[in-house]
Amino acid sequence: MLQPKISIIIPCYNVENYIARCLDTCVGQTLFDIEIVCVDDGSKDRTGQILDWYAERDCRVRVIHKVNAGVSAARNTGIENSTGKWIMFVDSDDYLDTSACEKVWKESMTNTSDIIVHGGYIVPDYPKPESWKYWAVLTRKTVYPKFSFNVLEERGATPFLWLQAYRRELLERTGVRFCDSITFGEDLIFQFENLPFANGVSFIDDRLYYYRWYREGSLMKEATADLDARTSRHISNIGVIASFWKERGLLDRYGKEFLGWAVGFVIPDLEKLELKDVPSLARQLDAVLEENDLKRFSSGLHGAAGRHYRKMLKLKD
Amino acid sequence: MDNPKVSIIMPSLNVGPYIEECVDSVLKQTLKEIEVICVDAGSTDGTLEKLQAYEAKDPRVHLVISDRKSYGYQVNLGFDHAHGEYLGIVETDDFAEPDMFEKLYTAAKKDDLDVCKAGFYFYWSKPAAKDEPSPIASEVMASRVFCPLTDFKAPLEQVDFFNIKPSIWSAIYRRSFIEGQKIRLNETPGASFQDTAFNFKVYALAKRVRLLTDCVLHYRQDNEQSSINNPGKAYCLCDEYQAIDDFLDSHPELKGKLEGVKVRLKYDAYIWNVNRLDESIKLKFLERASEEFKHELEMGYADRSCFVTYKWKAFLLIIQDPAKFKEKWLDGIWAVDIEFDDDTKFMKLWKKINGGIYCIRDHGFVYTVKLGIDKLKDRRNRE
Repeated sequence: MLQPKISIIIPCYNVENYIARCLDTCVGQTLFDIEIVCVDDGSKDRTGQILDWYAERDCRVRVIHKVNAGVSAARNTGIENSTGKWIMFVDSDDYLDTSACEKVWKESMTNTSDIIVHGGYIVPDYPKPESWKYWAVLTRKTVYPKFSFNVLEERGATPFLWLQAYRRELLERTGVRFCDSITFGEDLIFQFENLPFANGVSFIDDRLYYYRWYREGSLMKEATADLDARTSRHISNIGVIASFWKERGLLDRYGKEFLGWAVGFVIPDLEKLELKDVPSLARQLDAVLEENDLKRFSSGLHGAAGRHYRKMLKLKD
Repeated sequence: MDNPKVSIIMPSLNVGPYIEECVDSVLKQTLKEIEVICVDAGSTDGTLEKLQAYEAKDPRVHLVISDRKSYGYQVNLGFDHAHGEYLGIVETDDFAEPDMFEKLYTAAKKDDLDVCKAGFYFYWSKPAAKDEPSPIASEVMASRVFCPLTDFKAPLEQVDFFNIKPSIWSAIYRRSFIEGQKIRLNETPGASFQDTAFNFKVYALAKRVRLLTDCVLHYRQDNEQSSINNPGKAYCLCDEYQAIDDFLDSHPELKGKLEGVKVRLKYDAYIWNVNRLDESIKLKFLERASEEFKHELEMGYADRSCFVTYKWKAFLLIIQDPAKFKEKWLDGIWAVDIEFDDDTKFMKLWKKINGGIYCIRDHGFVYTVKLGIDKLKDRRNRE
């Protein structure tokens, strides 16, 4: 049996106002040979009915209804129930450019990369999103035939999952799935666990995705309301990634870069945001680094990374 | 039989070892209302006698003797003698699954199709019998009826559809469609890729085509006389594409829509052909391809959107310098050794300097120098 070229996986939870636009752009892709797997994560509004309506009219749309278990579990269900050669993730309140699949597929034929990253747009323009988001969705055209830490620092590589298409063989090879117990930053973990094992990562500069960064009652918004809790979760996610990398022996090779990335990820937040308890967060980060044997690389840090590291030592006391 | 559902054309020439397996597999089809038209081009190895025996035994078998040894002519002759609602072709060194024509006919009837096509197995009888399935469509592609001319929004997907292995013998065609549109095979001598142009014409004109996910026929790979294994026929493909050109010239309404697709198909076919040719004539063939491609480019027929980037660059390189293409491509680094960036050298340098300035501003001078060294090392590792 031949596989479809691309599977689009859409976890849906209470998005009756947005899901139609999302599915319209998926169904209207210029590439026909795709399948669209919608996972209805126990929505309480009419989302389920809307999905069924689409599934009735287009046989490429498949709907899986399940009890609410969070976005990670929904995505995992989507991965298990799809068959395409490539897997793309779309969030149910965002939407795609109609040529997205075509361009990803076209890129997939030019080289043997396991991951293809494309650019996106941020909508709506008002209220103004944070400026880093503008940058994070702007990719440049390049190919990394082998993994190096620069891949992770390339724009688009992190943290937005929906900019990326994964080859199914890669996910089967690494066996990495989304972590059910983590509800925030699970995509970052997924990326850090998959990218090092990819046989090449391609970045294309087409902007193919529309990210709705702001909407009333969005899950992200609730999660980010408490800045202290958010930062603390960031730090614990770093711990999860670090222990995974340690297990696979990646830290021995990329320890210095990883340490630099970790402090660069957290410390600016500690400095800029108005947090209640900075010292305890700094201590949490320190403990995570200690636990994974990362402090031995601190002497190799330069520039901003070194500054951040010293700042952390200062903040925790 | 008065109104057979499917007429199966079986062109044969000296296929003694395989003919019985083949005809038996067709006569034992679960679809009984068929007519079998064997078109023999004067076999001398006993094939003809065997076919005569079948004709005497089974009233559904008709034997036609062709006066020319041409695969195309033989099949055309078979088309002329056919009375069935649909036409099928089975080559006499292959053999069919028992339910092949039932599957194809049922699907064709259900959706009122012009063409219904399925996958096949690559089959080796030596050293041990081996089947390797080669399906032509995913479940998604099989889920709807296509008009290949208009139904694709993505040019590359249209190319992909036309590019599905031209296995004209794993499909059935509506007779009224083939006759109404006057689609014929090229009558060049022997068996020499006449399927290429036929396949193109069928897809260009058909309004309702459906693919099936099943595999229905065993395609023999170990017949040394098969045209696929014969590099002697170097320029037969060029004749086929000449025929496609003539066809497009006579159908101006298709020309604008399909020229781009045609050029891409031609590129793929020629590259495949060069691959199997003898070393001594490779360059000569490439030079001829170069001239033809140049003509396509100058006439504005070549359409970049039908090419993947690296193929487009290869296409341009063949036009510029066939010898260089041969050298690069033979070294086997072709797919990798491609500059993806279209920037000029000056722009690249400018970007590097800019990046460096930003990096110094954000991270400091020492860090920037170290990063630069890291990147240089990285590049060396890649090479």
